[in-house]
Amino acid sequence: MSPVPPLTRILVVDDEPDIRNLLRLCLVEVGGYGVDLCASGPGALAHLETGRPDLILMDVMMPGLDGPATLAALRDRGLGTPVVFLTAKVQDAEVAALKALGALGVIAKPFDPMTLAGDVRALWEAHHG
Amino acid sequence: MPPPPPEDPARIEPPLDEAALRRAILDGAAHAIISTDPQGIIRTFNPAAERLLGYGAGEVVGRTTPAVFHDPEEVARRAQALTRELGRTVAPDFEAFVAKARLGLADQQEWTYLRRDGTRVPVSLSVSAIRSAEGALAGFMGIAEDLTRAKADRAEADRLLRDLEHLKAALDAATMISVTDAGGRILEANPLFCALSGYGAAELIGQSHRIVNSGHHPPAFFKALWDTVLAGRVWRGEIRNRAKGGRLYWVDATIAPLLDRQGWPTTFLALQFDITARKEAEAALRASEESLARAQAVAHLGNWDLDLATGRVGWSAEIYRIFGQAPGSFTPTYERFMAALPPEDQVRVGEAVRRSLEEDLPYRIEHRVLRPDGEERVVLEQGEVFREAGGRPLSMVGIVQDITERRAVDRLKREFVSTVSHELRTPLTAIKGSLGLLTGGVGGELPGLAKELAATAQKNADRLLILINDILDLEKMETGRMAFDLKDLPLHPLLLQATEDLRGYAQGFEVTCELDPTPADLLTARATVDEGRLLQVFGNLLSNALKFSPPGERVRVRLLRTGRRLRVEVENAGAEIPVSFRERIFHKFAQADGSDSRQRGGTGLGLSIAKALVERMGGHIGFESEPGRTVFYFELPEVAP
Repeated sequence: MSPVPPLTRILVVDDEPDIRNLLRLCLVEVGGYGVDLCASGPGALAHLETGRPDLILMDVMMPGLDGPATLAALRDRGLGTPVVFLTAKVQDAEVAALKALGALGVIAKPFDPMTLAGDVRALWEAHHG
Repeated sequence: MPPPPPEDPARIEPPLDEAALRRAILDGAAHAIISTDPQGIIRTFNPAAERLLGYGAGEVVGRTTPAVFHDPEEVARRAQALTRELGRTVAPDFEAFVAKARLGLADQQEWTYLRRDGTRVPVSLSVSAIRSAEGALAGFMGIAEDLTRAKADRAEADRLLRDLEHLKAALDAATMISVTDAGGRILEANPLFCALSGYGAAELIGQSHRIVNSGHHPPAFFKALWDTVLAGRVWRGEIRNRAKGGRLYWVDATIAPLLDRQGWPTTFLALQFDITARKEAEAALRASEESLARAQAVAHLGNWDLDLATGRVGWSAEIYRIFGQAPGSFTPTYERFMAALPPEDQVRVGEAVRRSLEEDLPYRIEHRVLRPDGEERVVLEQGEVFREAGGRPLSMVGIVQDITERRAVDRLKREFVSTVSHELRTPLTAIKGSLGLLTGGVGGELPGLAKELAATAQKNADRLLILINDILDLEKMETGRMAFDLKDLPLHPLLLQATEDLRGYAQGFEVTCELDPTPADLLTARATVDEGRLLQVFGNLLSNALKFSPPGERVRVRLLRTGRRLRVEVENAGAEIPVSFRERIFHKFAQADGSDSRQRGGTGLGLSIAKALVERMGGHIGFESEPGRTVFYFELPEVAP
């Protein structure tokens, strides 16, 4: 059993500025992680040319390049960064479809802000456990 | 061949013998001829008299008339009549026959002869005096003609005449009769013609029928009429006429030309029946049918009927139009109807019709119709079986309504609701998140009142989220976009788990929540369900029961079997459900009292979601309520062990 690698830096991708800011507060203030923010899929791809986050927390529904398409583009570029999706669509079938794309997990929107960081951490540990 | 014999010299005619001539006349005469001497002694009685009366000449010659073949009463009546006529006494004897002849007056009289066989025969008897060249009275001669045949002919003629009079009276009472000359001028008009046309006979005679022309028919109509009757044929048709004063009336007219020997019409006989009432009834019926057809066109609704004995199908015009066909362009049949449906709809509709016939229940089903041009319409189809007293189905009647536009509007409405709900979620996520961080102390410790206010805001944000999720769930179910993960599962463990899960929630209402002991044979009884959805249904019913239970009461849950179905009941104490509310209890946002949602919590969608979920799993949901006790239940088909 390999030790769980440290989780220190998270890239948040969401087109809604208030949600982005809220996610930042949840992850920084409650979780104590380092956070970078992107407003779109292409923005995230540009950020990843230099940035090296441990995990990406990304909204599914975004105009233009949506979450799953962004994930596919990442993988095309050989980037294996784990992705956790945020979505309002939480039916079992949809969650299964997102996981099949290679997502680490899915967190439902609206989320509980006090437990979000913990939930992300749990997914991270389950992935490396 | 022998030569003809030489002519016999004896055959040369002698001079005419007067006596022989008289004899021949008497013998050959068709009438009975009886002669007497001046005193009435019968002298001759010819063969025709013998045939008429049945007596031989030998039996009567030499006897005095009135002989055996006269009726004494008739002779007496004749004597009285002659006494009055001649002004002197005529005795009821031979004088009754010859009184006038003696005076040189013609005397032809009807008498009755009594035949030898007792039958009576009417005769016309002429009596004349026979006088010598010097004028001396030599006797009398009576010539009698048998009137039997003439009398019968007269009686027949009288009967025919009477029949004709009756016929004419009947015709006069029933029909308008008029006669015109060849030029169309009215010669006669019966009282009924006058009564209906409003004109007196004097106003009509000499006029043409144009006097009642209403202008309704084109000139060609009357030209065809005249062409027909002038050609010697009978014309028959319906004419709209105008009476004096403007009143319009309809007649069924038959116009017959009366032809002369050369075949030319001399007069025209017109028989006309008043059909105004029928025409008005027809017009009223037509108007009513037209208004029905217009109403059907406006409603996009057609009606049909099916005769189950003959298979004959009737469609109103609107059904043809809904099916994209010209009204009446073909004879509808059940097969033709089915052929216009997509195959999967044919199966569903066929099943609904079959079940309706078997179970004697009306059916109501939505299906698609493919028009010949490829356009697809959505229709609502309803039908019902009519049976004779014995229960044998006679016919089906129903309606088809085009609800394509309504369905499109429904879809837009659902899409709108769906879009709005999704859009609401984003700001709500931000609100809920911010409030969560605030109350979590992320923004620093909140003063007491601020904490309370933030908690209120958070609670209501939660409620709003539940509402939005409910709306989206319903929308997904209505559009069939909710995925169901159906498995054959035992219900008892699920109920046990759900009852346990809600125990804490129940404590908040000061109500206890218990699962009645499940019968041993039901512990493993299974139904085909989506576990999560079933728990959602159960949670809805249970939380409803908790909310409406008075504090201190128990909510009881039990699993039963009814026939081939498993039945889950949730019973609570408390007020009876108002009767006025029962019908819409499963409707969206239906709450008995508008204030309930605030008092009791909940979105008003729980029961409609539960109903939709149960029905999607092939089940049925319902309730029973009485004062002090309400039971909500759902039933699901049991999976055979």
